[in-house]
Formats: sequence, C-alpha cells, structure tokens
Amino acid sequence: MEGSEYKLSSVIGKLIKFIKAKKGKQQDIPPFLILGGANQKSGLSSKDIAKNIIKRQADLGIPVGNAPDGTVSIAEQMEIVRVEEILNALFINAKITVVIPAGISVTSTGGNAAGQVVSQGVTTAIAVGTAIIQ
Amino acid sequence: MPIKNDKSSLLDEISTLKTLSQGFPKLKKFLNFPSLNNSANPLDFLLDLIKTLVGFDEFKNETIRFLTYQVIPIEAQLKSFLKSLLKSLFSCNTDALIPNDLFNVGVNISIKQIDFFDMLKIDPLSDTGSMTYGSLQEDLNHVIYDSIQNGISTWKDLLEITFSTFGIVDGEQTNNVFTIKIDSFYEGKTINDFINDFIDKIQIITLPFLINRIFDNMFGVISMNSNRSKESIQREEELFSLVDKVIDLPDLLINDSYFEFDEKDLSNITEKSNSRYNGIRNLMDCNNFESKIEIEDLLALNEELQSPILIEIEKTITNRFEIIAINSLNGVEEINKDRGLLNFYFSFFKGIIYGIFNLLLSPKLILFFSVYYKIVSNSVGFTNFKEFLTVNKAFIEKIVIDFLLPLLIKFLLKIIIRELTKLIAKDQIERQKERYSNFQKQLLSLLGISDDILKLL
Repeated sequence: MEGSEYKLSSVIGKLIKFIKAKKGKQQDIPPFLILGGANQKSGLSSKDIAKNIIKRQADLGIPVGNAPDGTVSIAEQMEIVRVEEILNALFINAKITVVIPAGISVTSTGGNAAGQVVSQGVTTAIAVGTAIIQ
Repeated sequence: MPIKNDKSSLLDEISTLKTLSQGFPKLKKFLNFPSLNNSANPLDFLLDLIKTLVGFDEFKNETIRFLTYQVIPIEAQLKSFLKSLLKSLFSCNTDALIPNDLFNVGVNISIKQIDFFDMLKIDPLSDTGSMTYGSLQEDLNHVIYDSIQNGISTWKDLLEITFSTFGIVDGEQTNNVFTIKIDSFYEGKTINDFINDFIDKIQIITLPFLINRIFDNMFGVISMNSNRSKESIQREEELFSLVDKVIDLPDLLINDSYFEFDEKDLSNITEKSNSRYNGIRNLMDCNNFESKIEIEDLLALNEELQSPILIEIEKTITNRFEIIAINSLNGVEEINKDRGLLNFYFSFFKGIIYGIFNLLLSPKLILFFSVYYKIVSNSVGFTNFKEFLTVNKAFIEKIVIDFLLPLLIKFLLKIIIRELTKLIAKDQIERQKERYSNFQKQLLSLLGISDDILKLL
C-alpha cells in the first residue's frame, strides 16, 4: 500500500472527481421542428414566470398571498422584480450567435449560354448568424 | 490551496447532491463539522463526512462488522508488512547467518527495555490478566511473565527466556534482566528464516485483546483495575500523541519536531493520562460529562469472545457494545445521549489505530525487535521507552502512514463511496427524467401545444 494515496488532499480530490462524474447530454431537437414551431411561440412573460414561482411556493409549504393584516407580501413582490430584471437583461442584452459548420450540402441552379446549369457541392466556410430572445 | 478549501468544496458538492435528491424541504446543513479546518487529518474529516451521509446505527453496524470480519485479515496483512518493513529498515534487505552467540550466550535485555506500559505487572490469572494475556502455550507475553515467576520458560521451539534479578545489559549492571536464546534448531539458518518463523507463529492482534485495549485507552478501565502507575499511562498517551502527529501530517516529510512535545501537547497528554488513571473519559460534547464503563461489562465481553464455542461474534459484540455504551452514559442528560452514543462509536473506531499500536508495542514484540536489532546492529539500540521512540521514528511513521491509515481510510471510503453512489444514482435518474421531460415539452411547444397542457406533463 502506498501511503501518499491516502493523504487527505488526494482522498478529497478523488471524491470530488467521483461526484462530478459525466452527467449525460440533452438530445437534439430535429431542425425542421424548430423551423416550423419556433415562430408560433408566445415569447417570455415575467408575469407568467413570477406567477408560477409563487404558486409553487405553496407546494413547499410557504404561505402565499397577503399577510393576515392584509399587507402585500414583500417576498412575492420581490419575486416579480427578480424575474422582471432577469428577463429584461435577457431581452435587452442577450445575444445569441448561431454557428453553422462548413460542409453543408448545397444544390444551386444557374445558367449560361448553353442553358440551365445545376451544380452540387458543400459549403467551405462556417456561417454565422445572430438571434435575440423574445 | 489550503486544505480547508478542498474540504469545503467537497462538502458543497455533497450538500448539493443531498439537497437535490432529498427535495428542498429536507435541506440539511453541515452544522456539526468540527474537522472543517486546515488540519490534514484524514480520519477526522472522513468520520465527520460519514456523520452527514449515514445514520448512527449504520456506522455502528459497520464498525462491528469491521471488528468481526477484518481483524483476522488485518493480522495476516500486518505480519507480511512487518516482515518486509523490518528487512528494509534495519537489515537493508540483506540476509546473514544467525551469530552463534544467540544460541549459547543469548542476548541480555532489561525489563524496562521491553515493558513500556507495565503489562508484566499484571497477573495473568487475575481478571485484568485474562483481558491482557492469552494462554501460556500461545502467548509470548504470558511466557515472558512466566519466566519472571519461574526463572526460565520457552516459547514454541523458538526462544528460551531466562529471568534474573541482576544482569549485565550493554556492559552495565542492571536489575531485572531477561536472557534470550534462540533455539538451536536455527543454528546454520539465516536471520530471515528466524524472522519469518517468529512472525508466522506469533499472534499480534486478537479480537478480544484489541477491543480491550481500545476500551482501556478510552476509559482507563483496565489500567485503573490493575493499579497501573500514572507514569506508565502517560507513556502510552505520549505514544498516541506521536501517532496523532503523524496522522495530522500535511505531507509525508517528517522532521524531528514531530517527535517533540510542546506545552499544549504535554498538557493534553497529562489531562488524558489523569482521566484514564481515574477510569473516566470526559465528554466535551456532553457538558464535560465524566463517562465510565464497568470492568464487569468488559470482562463479560472478553469471556464470550474467548469462548471456544462462540459462533455469533457479530451478535455478541453488538449486544455487549450496546450494554457498555448505554452504561457509559448513565447520568448524562437525555438531550445529550444521542451525541454521547455517536461519540462512543466514533472514538472507538478511531481507537483502532491506538489499540493496534498497543498490541504492537507489547513486551513480546519489543523483545523480538530487541533480539533482531542485536543481531543486525550488535546493539539493542535503546534503554527505555523514550529512546525506543527516537530510534524507531521511521518504524512508527511507516506503520501509521503505510499500514494503519490506509487500512482505516479504505474502510471509511468504502462506506462513503457506497452512500455517494446512492446519491449520485438518484441524482442521475432525476436529471435524466428532467432532460426527457424538457425535451418532450420543447418538442410539443414547437408543435403549438399550449402552456397549460405542457404543465401537466
């Protein structure tokens, strides 16, 4: 047995590595579905999100609604402010960059003196697009 | 990075796992984590970690299973470790014939060179003797005691031990001297033949004696009942303090300062020695309650474990430990009882290292080391306990760092990894479910399904 393996720093390092084991990957959504469905989305609403969070507080046993003396719950007001601020930051400052790799198959048509020409090939450079959150 | 940050990172990871797997209302915080400091002591930290991962009953059962099933394998591993350690440390892995002097004249060794903790003052026929010595046929400690009473005794065709009230040790007239001769069977044989045979034939760790030693180190119950001197208990506490220092080492480089005691160490050693001398154990966690155990309870366990017809070792230890633990907390406030029980089992577990050291440094092993050193170095090399520690620093470090610590850490890690695996598996399943649910919701949202319906999924 080698004593250095059992030094505390080594033991802690191994345990952290063990806990942080690979956590898997989300499946890809078929692109045609995104193409067709993305435009139908209603967009983000801070009111809806805050309402849902407050509703779920009740599931955890946290009192929801006005205090017994009728005053408005500061915690719930704060929840609305928090969500509004997060969404505002996303709406105003977020920038989404879409990168399309090279090697995408393309078919193009054109013409010359001999008539119509159809050519096939692949893109040779990566393409970049931008998007915003709504 | 200081070790405290490493500890904190690990605890954060575990805390998050526990919170996510148990649900928000069950969030547990690390309120009681005394080892969250810069100490490099792995045992304290792992034991604290276990407190947060498994319940008290689970740890108690694991400790008892460790005693029941691991002591025999540990004895075999320790013997093999000792053989190679002695050869590498003291004879540079070379071998030679045993000198003829060892068969004809023998080696003179004084009693204070081998009996550091006054074991040979205990009568094997007394109650505390039955908790200390094995049979005269098996146990070399008993044979050494017998030689004091009868002048001469032999052990397993290996050693002949003669006792005299006066003798010459390293050229000096000395009281209470043993003359050790090796059996003539070994004439013409090598030192390694003798070492291997000796270590194979000796019993170093036996379950009842290990348990007795640990309880005595915790409560002083055997020491008090055998009228041990405070000085001899203090020597034992000095040894444990050194072992603690080696365990606490942040790295494997040990200098001489680790073998010196400062004022704080000395005050700690004196305090522990006084408590053991008076047969008590101060429970800091329980308002300094003075915990005691009854010698009769330990004697009953000792007798049952030594019974030749004993089959259910695990059950016997479980039942007897429960009685000893509960009795040790007689009078403690009800609110502190659970904490007292936890302290009892955790201290017992940590005490395994000290208990094994007690058994390793009992007269029979020290006598063997003395004969061995005399053969390989032509001198025993020490005249008392303090000199023994100084001369054998490397030996103590190796035993702690390369044998005992890995042994206990591996055991604790096994429990920790088992519990973490349960948490991680639960976490992975939840994550997988969440990913699938999110994927499904996103797909359906792209098909125009409304929020209200998606929430039902």
